[in-house]
Amino acid sequence: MKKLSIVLLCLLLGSFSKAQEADNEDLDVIELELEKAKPKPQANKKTSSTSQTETKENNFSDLATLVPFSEVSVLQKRFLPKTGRGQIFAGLSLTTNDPFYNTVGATLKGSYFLSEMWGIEIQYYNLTSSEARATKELYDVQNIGTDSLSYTKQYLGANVVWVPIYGKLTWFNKKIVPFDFYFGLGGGQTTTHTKSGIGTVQLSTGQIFAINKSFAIRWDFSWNFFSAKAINEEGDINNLFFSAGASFFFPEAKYR
Amino acid sequence: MRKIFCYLAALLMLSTTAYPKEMIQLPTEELARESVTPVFDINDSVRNRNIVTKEKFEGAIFYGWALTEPIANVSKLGVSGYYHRNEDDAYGLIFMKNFAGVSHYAKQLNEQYKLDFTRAPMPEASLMFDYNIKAFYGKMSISKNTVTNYHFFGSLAGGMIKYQNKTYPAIATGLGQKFYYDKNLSFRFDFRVFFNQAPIPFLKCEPGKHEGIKNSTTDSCNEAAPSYSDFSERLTITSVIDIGVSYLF
Repeated sequence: MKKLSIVLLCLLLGSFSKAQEADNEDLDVIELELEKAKPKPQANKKTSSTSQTETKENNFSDLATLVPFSEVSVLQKRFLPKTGRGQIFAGLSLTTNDPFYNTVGATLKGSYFLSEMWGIEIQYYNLTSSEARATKELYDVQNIGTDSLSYTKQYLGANVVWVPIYGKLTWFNKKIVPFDFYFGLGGGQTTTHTKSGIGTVQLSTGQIFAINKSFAIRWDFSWNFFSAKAINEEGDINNLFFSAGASFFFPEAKYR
Repeated sequence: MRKIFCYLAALLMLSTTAYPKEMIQLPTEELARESVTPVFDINDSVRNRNIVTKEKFEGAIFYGWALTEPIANVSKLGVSGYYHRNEDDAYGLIFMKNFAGVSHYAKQLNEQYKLDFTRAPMPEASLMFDYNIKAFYGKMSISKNTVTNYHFFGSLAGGMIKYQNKTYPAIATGLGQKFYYDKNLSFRFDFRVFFNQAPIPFLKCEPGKHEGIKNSTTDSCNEAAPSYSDFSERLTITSVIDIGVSYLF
């Protein structure tokens, strides 16, 4: 009876392992299909086949004659593809370098990317200002008003966006966050509380942290240079805006 | 015995029918195209870091620019030293020495209204204990040619700011980034907001006591120049950007 139960157990185990084999085979088939579905790296195949024949024919000394790589891709595919896609960014902005006014507001930016590295962007800032404590004290204590000191109410401009840097971050070694690091150069018109249509040059830099292929968190510093009144005399003014918000990319990414 | 064989046969039949061996063919268009990251109990996303900071020291020198300072000189130079406890946090000391003199705006106010802000006490130096939480570590590809390693961290500091007449406690909070040139040398950027008590640089004439910061021979106030103790104090908030180089050893 004992022998019989052992035989029984072996048979059962055998049948279970067969079932597992079947599962594994199914998995293999799916993986095989996935491999088939992958785009074929034609160029690599050609080079590998030619290099195989060459290694047979050539000596190691011929390695010195190899042509250097024209492009070396150092990271994996971009998680957030941008080529031919648009971006809508909405965020909050504040002026970080005005000691006399606290300026905050909303920013709306629309971009179109011609390639992964180049894009164009239109941007609009609508800002509101209140007097900083130093300004109130200057008036209360010294009786000097700063009404003539210019502060920005609106900015409308366009930028060329260059995205030379792509990277990935790990958050406490637990989660990978892909990001793009970009620079912008452009110009537009600033409206201060006293004057509108002031020609402005803008430099900007920022980062886009991809949450998924359509949605990202973005921050940037935009440095606007224009000429306006500063302490009762015409002078060069620069506004360093910090903006943070969310970006939506469209249409849906077609590849990957 | 016959019964046993019957049971055995039944079991074998059942077991084969329960696990049929058949080939599943799926159309290509129905196969998944998205890659899915498996979820593990221990999610360890970076195993081999190019930049290892654990139990290492770091020294830095930097230039600081006080973005929202209206009167005092906006520039300062600093040195800092950190000890990295592990890959997640570091702590250290920062010493900053302020440039002497007044700001561009203060010079303009002096030219226009004869306000001599050099009469007001100015910040001279700061010493802060800084805690960095290195939340993000990453790699960046610059035009697909090189890889630069990168740290993005939060900063919380507490210490003292010395003015010409008095020393005040201060706290600062901010964000920082380090871009590594090689495994040791990096460019470091910090953005901090400082909160501290500070003297108000504005002061008007008090007849019979002192003159204000206005220094004019034509006005009606002919008192002696004020002393630093004549200036009252308030909470001051200043945002500062630091740009420097850092070395890990």
